[in-house]
Amino acid sequence: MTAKEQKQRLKEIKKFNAKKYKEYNKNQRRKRAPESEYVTKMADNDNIIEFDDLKTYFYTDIGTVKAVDGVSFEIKRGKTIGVVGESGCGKSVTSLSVMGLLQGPTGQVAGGSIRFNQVGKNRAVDLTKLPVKEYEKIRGNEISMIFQEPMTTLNPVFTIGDQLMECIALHNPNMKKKDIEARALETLEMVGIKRDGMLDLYPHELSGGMRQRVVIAMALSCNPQLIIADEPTTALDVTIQAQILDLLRELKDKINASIMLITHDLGVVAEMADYVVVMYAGRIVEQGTADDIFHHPAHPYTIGLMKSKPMLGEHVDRLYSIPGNVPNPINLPEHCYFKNRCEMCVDKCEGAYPELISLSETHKVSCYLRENEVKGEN
Amino acid sequence: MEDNKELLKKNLQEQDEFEKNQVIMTPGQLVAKRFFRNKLACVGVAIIIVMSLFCIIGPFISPYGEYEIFYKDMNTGVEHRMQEELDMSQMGINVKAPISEAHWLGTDTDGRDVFTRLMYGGRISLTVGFVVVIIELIIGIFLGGLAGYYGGAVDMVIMRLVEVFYSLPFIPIMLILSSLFVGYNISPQYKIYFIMIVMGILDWAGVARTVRGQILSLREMEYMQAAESTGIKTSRKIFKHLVPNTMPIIILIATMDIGSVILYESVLSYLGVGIAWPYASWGNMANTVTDSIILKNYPNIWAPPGLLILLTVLAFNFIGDGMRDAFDPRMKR
Amino acid sequence: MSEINYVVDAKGVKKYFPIKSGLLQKTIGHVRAVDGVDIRIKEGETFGLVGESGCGKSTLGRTLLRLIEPTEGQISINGMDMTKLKREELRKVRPSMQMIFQDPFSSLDPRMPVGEIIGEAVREHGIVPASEYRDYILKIMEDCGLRPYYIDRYPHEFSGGQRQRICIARALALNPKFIVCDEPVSALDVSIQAQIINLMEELQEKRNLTYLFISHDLSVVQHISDTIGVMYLGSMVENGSTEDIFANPLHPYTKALFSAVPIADPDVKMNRILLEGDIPSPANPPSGCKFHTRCSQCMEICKNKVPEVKDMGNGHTVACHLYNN
Repeated sequence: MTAKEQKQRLKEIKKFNAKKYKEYNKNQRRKRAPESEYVTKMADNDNIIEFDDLKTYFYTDIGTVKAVDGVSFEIKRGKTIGVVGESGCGKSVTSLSVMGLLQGPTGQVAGGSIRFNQVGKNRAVDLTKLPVKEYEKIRGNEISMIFQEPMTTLNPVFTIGDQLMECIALHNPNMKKKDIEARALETLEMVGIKRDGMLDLYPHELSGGMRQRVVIAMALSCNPQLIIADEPTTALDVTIQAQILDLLRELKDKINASIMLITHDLGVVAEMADYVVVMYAGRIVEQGTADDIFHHPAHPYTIGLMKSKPMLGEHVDRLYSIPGNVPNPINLPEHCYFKNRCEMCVDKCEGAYPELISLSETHKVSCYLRENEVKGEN
Repeated sequence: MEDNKELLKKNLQEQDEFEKNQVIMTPGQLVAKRFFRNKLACVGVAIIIVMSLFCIIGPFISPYGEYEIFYKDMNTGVEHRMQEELDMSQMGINVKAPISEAHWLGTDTDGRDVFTRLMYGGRISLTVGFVVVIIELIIGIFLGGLAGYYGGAVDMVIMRLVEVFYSLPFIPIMLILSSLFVGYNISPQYKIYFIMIVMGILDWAGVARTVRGQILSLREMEYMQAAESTGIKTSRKIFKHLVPNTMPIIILIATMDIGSVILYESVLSYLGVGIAWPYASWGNMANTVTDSIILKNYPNIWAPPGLLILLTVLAFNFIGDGMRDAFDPRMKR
Repeated sequence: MSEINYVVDAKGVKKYFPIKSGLLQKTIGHVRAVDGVDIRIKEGETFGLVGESGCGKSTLGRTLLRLIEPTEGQISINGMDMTKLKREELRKVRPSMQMIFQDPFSSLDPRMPVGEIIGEAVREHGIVPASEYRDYILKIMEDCGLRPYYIDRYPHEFSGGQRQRICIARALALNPKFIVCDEPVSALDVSIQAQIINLMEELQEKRNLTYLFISHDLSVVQHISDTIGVMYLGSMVENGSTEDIFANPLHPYTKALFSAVPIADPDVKMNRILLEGDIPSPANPPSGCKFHTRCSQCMEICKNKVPEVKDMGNGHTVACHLYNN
């Protein structure tokens, strides 16, 4: 590519981005949106959240990054869904889209919808169209999030009691101070760290595992319908990770909330999740129950992922490894994104990106190889 | 299976080709791009360019000199220049002349062309800014680098020195120095040099502290440890790894400091302890505002230098902000 | 048995970091990051060092290479007494012992092109004549699975896996015999992890390298190591061949550590030994056996007496009072 062509291309990108930024800013400035614009109907009232062809793009200087490109799945009430994939596959961006925490105007939801079931209010809203004011009522209240780094999630200058109670008071303005404190203690008990004087401690006085428990307590404090846990145990040690996973599993049964667990660790997913969604380069390549995914993986990527992780107690001379690298997220090709790394690819893979096909009621995969497999035969 | 292997190989090559053709940029290009995307920063650069042209080239174009005084025939009102043969008994000095074609911003209280003096004043103000910053950078980088790289006792001594310099009261010291200059009869021309050196010496502490902090954090980076473990020489480690990576912050300090030094210089000149007559500087030109009649009736004398100071300092700050965002995009928003 | 060639032979390595406080920076205590560790690594082998964060495994790795000055102890690498070398001598022998770092993002200088990163020290030490320099770099890059056109690119264009390959290439270009790998794969994605591990194993075979592989990921350590050492709070609690340790973990900490690893199979119901509480601070370690505060089989003696290292046969050593009889 000559320097001139390169310059020309960058110029075009800049122009395109400017247009997108302008649209975004115009949308952001609108104060009030009529309710009809964002209230929708759930496809199935049993679901807590439905992603429908969600597209989240980042308009960067060197091109459009399609971080999430047409993702559809749903989470049933009270179930745990694990979203697995490598870094850059769009799993975190999906969660940020739910929380409305994308860094605009570079990152925007470019299409599709996220329908959230507000069970309490008996209605459903489309989070992608929700005005900021309404969002604030939902965020931290009906949907809450657990981040990866417990140290940066907590504010170091306030006691954990302050932070917990602030969180509760914010979403329950009518609550009395005594009740708030009682509620705070209750949530601490739930996560197993209720002790005298616990509320007066500062985050730096706690260890990593304790901090993560506090973060979980904060997420639980307002009885959320949906908890998004973005790599909740990645920053922790193995023995502490085991403690936190046990805690999360216990809580899952106690509280009636759905959990969206985002992680790269297949082991964690296997322990926690009822359903699993496998993402690659911004798309879902396979989804199904934990049993489907772990015992009958259908997509070559899922199979490769499972094989490439050494298992404790098993010995192999050489690890299986998926060749190549994750493709550059800018200007992805038309064909299946995994084609270039796939050992099982066939001529048909040159064609358009494969549709999601159902192998069974729960198991869906996006690969030409499985096209001929009749439902249930797997 | 063999078939598949072939296909896979081909596909991997295809991806490779694809990546080979991606737009590539060096870190420097990326920074430049981010910088020029910032509109305010571009405005800042434009202001500085125009200002520099005005101050450097302007005096060659202007028909008048820096200290040239204009006379007026008291009978006819015709203006005469200094170098003409004049009958001095008929002449008065053409002070506080209004804006006219001959004097775009009128003349000042001594009968000199304001517009021309603005050019010369800018020359001195910008020169002072650059020279002082260069002096403080030389001292600051050297001492800050020593403190950061060697640590221990060296660091201890240098940092205490920094604290001493931080607690020196700037304006009183300048006032004392100024009366010393007067006492020792130092000519105004040398006074400019002295002021630049003194300001540089008084100002290095901030640079040293920032450079030391940057080097301390860079030293913890794993690539510095990698450099240590590959056994390359200390000099190379400093000049090939540390210095290039401290460059952004140094450039940033330099831009921000030029603005503040220009401001300081004008404050000093305004107080009468900086650049002295007959030399012009924006600060001592604005000094005339102390006279309430001038303040009220002749804004053309004091407003332009004030405006130029404002514009220049603002421009340097815009550039500095733009650079910070460009060097570290995470700091933004 | 004296025939065995140990690349690394260290005894009683200690590293205490002083805790300073007050105006005059008085030392008020020490963080005992590494508290008397013996370690021996045979030529061509991989020694896996496992433990949780803060147990001193990274410090040990760096102390062996004298990137951190040891407080006490004897370290010999390739038969050289590391602790006695002068600065300049040390710099000269650096190429034979290299290190691969955990974070592939901070371990590459962002302002240098890849070729320069790999080749900088090669030129400095004159590993190859100037005329062969470029070919040599390209050869190393090829060995590490890097494309030739990467040579002029800057690190910010690469993904974590490729960056780690660059780090490996940098280490390898100096023809080392011994490489300390400080969590080389824990910052990488699963599919890339496997590539890097395979690459490291390949290179080991080809060049007869000796690795000290530091990691908290037990499954990876099990795969790559011949010998394993388990560290807790600066001490080696168990040490032995990989088969021995995994088949028959002796120390209660090792057992708990193994049982905590999540298995990628939803049907496997884990029989977990859950450890209570957190790791104590290494600045103020518990008396007696350091593990007694979290141990489920703690006895009275554990609180007072430091357990001796006991050989259970076949080079499998453990430091625990349970095995004293």
